[in-house]
Amino acid sequence: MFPNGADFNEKDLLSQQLSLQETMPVELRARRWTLRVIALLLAGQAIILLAILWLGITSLNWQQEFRKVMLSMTVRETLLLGGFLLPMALWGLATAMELWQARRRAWLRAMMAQGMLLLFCLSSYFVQEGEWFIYLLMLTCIIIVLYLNTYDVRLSFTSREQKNRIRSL
Amino acid sequence: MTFAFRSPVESKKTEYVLSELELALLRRYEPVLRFAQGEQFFPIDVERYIQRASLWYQHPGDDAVCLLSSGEVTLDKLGRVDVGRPDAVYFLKFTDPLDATELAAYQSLQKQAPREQNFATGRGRLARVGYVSRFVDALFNVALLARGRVPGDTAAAAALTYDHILTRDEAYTYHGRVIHEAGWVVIQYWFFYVYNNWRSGFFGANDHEADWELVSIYLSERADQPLSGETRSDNEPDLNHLLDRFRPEWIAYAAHDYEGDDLRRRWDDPEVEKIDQHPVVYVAAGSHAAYFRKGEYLTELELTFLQPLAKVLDWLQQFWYNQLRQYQDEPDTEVPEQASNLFRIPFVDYARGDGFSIGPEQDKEWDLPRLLRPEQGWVSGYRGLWGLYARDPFAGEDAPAGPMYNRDRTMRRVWYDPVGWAGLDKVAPIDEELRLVVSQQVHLKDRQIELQNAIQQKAFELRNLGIATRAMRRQPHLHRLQAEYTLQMNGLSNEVAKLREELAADQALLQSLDDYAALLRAGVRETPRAHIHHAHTPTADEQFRAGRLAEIWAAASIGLMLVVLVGLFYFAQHYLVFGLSVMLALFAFVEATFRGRIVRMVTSVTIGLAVVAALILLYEFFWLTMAVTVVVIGSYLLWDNLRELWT
Repeated sequence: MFPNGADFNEKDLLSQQLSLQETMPVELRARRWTLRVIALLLAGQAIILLAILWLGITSLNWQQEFRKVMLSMTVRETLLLGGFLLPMALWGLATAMELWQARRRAWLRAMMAQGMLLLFCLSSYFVQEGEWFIYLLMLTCIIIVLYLNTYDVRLSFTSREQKNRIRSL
Repeated sequence: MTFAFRSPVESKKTEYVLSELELALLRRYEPVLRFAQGEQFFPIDVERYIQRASLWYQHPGDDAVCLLSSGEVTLDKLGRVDVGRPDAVYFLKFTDPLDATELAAYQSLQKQAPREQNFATGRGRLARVGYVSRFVDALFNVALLARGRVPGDTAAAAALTYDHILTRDEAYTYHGRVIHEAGWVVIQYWFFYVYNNWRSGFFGANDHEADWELVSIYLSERADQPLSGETRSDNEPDLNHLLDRFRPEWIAYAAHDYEGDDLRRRWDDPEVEKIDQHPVVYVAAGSHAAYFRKGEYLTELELTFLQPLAKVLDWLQQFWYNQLRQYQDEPDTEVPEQASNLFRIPFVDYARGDGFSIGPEQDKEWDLPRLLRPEQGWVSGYRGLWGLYARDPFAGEDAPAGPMYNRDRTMRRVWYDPVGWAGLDKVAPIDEELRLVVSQQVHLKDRQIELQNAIQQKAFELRNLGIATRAMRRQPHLHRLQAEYTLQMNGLSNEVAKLREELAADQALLQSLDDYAALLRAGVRETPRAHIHHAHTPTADEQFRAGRLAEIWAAASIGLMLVVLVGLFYFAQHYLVFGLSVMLALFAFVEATFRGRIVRMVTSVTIGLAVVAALILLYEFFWLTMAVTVVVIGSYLLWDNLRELWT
C-alpha cells in the first residue's frame, strides 16, 4: 500500500496517465513547430518571388517604354513573369498563413505550389537559357519539397486514423 | 525402437511390412485436392500418360529425332534410354498439334460447356501493379513471340487426349514416397498432370506438357507409444498400431520453385485446413501450384538479368527513406513497395477451390497410390523431360523432368533433401527436442568446467608473469628477458580474456536453454507461425481499391501509350519531348483518378520534378556544390571541436 492508500495497480495507472499528459503536449508542440518552419520557408520563398519580380520591374526603363507605340519584348516577358510570380507569391503567403494557423489542408496546397514553380523553372531551363533566379527558385523548391515530404512532417499532417494505421505497420 | 525405414531389410516379410506400411501411411494422410472452376487436368498415373506419349531426343542445332513412337514407350524402356550422346536432350511428347477440324470441334465443345464450369478471371492482374511492371509484362509477352514456346493448340490437343484417357477409365492417382531423414518420416505425395495450361487457360506465365507437383507431410515417431501388440495373433504385423506411432508435425505444399521456411506450416496451424486427418490443398488453376488457403495469389516472375539494376534502385530507395527520412505511403498495390519489385512480372494463381474436389469422401476418390522408389528405372534412370522440349531460354515453356531431377538433369533438392527443402533441417521432432536441449546443456556444463579450469590455470600463470615482469623493471641488465615476458604476458592476457568471454557467452546460452527446457517440460511450444518470414497470402478484397474502369485502363494503358508514342513520332516530331511529357502526365492523372490517389500523384510528380531540378543544379554548379559541401563539413567539425573546449 502507498501512503495515499492507492495500491500498486492504481499507482501504475496514475503514472501512465501522467506520462500521457506529458507526452501529448510535446507531440503537439512538435507539430506546431514543424508547421511554423514550413510556414516560414514558404513565406521566405514568397518574398524571394516578390523580390525577383521587383528587380525585374525596376530594371526596366519605363519612361522610354511608354514613349514607344508597342511594348518591347523584354517588357512583355517581364509582365508575363509577373503574371505568374505574383499569384504564386500570394498563394505562398496565403498557404504560409494557413500553416501558421495549423490547417491540415495547407500541406497539399504547399506541395502543389512547389510543383508548379518547379515546372516553371524546368520549362524555363529547357526552353530558353535559364535566368539566374531560376536556379535560386529551384534550390528553394527542392528544400521545401524535401522538408514537406519528410516522415515527421507528413505524419503531423495525416489524420489520427491514418497515423494509427501507419504506426501499427 | 529403430523403425524399419532406418535399416535395410532383407526378409520378404519385412519388405511386405515396409511397402504395406508406406501405403497405409500414404492413405492415412492423403490430401484433399480442391481445384478451381475451369481446371481441365487432374492427377493421373504416369503409366497412362506414357502409353500415349512418344520419346524423342535432340542434339543442339539438330532436328528432334523420334526414338519410340506413341504406344511403344513403357516405364521400363524409359529407364534404359541412352543414345550415347551426353549433350542430347531427351523428351516425351504427349500430343501432336490439332488440325483445323479437330480444333474447331474442340472449341465448339468448350462453348457448349455449362457457364458455371468455365473460368472467369475476376479482377485484372495488371490493375494490381504499377506502370513499370505493366511495361515489363508487355516486353515479356512480346519476347514470348520470339523465344521458344509451346504451340497454341497444344493445350487443346492435350485436353482432348486427356479426356479420351479419362473416358476409358476415370481414375485419379497420385504417386507416393515415404522416406526417413534426419529423424523425420517424410511422406511425399507427387501429383502428375499431363499439361500445365496456366498461360493459355488462365493468363499465367507459361504452358508446358507434363507437370509434377508435391505435398510433403513430416511425421515424427512417438516415444510414448508402447511396442507391444505390433503383431496380431496370426503373426501378421498390426499396421494400425504401427501407424499410431507416427504423429504429423509439419506439412509443406510446393508452389512454383519456392522453398524454405515459408513453405511449411505446423500441423496444428489453423491455416492448415483438414478433413479428419486429410489436409486440404487448394490447387491453382493451370499452374497446379498448391496453397493452404483458397484465394487469388499474386505470383511474381523475377527477371534475373535485371537484378543488378533492381539492387541499385533498392539502395537508392533505402537512402531516400532512411537517410533523407522521406515519407513512405501505404502501398496501394498488393506488392510491397520495393524498387526491385518494379522488374517483376505479375501473374495470378487462381486457387479458388470452387471446382472439382478429389480425396476421401469428395467428388472423386483417389485410386490406389503408386509407390515411388529410386530403384524404379523410370524414376532414377530417365533424366529427360516429361513433355515437349520447347527450347525456351527461360525454360518456363519446357516440360519439367521427373520427380527426381531438375530440367538441367541435376537432382531435385526436394528428392535428396526433403527436410532441408522445407527448412526443417534446423528443427527437431517434438519428442526429440527436449532430449537435444538436455544433451546440449550437459555438453555446455562440461565445457564450462573445462573453461573454468583453463582460466584458473592461465590466470595463475599470468599473475606469475606479472610479478616477474614487475620484479625485472629495476634491473636494466634483464631488459631483454623483461621484454620477452611482457610479450608472453600480453598473449596470455588475451587468451584469458577470450576464455572468459566464451564462458560468459556459454553461461547466457545455458540460461536460455534452461528457460527453454522449462517451457518444453511444461508443454509450451512456439506459436505455429513463428518460423514464417513472409507468408504467401491470397489477395484480400479490401486491398484492391480499383474499380472496373481501373482494370480496363490497366489492361489498355501500355498498348495505348505505345500507339500514342508512334503517333507523336510520326505526326509531331518537333514536339516529341513536350508531347511525351503531356502524355505521361495525362496517363498518370487518369490512373490516379481511377485509384482515388490524386494527392499521391501530386506528391510523386513534385518529388520527381525536384529530383530533376537537383540534378540540373548539380550539373550546372558541380564545383560550387562540392565547395559548399566541404565548407559545411569543415564548419561543422570546427563547431564540434570548439564546443568540446568550451563545455
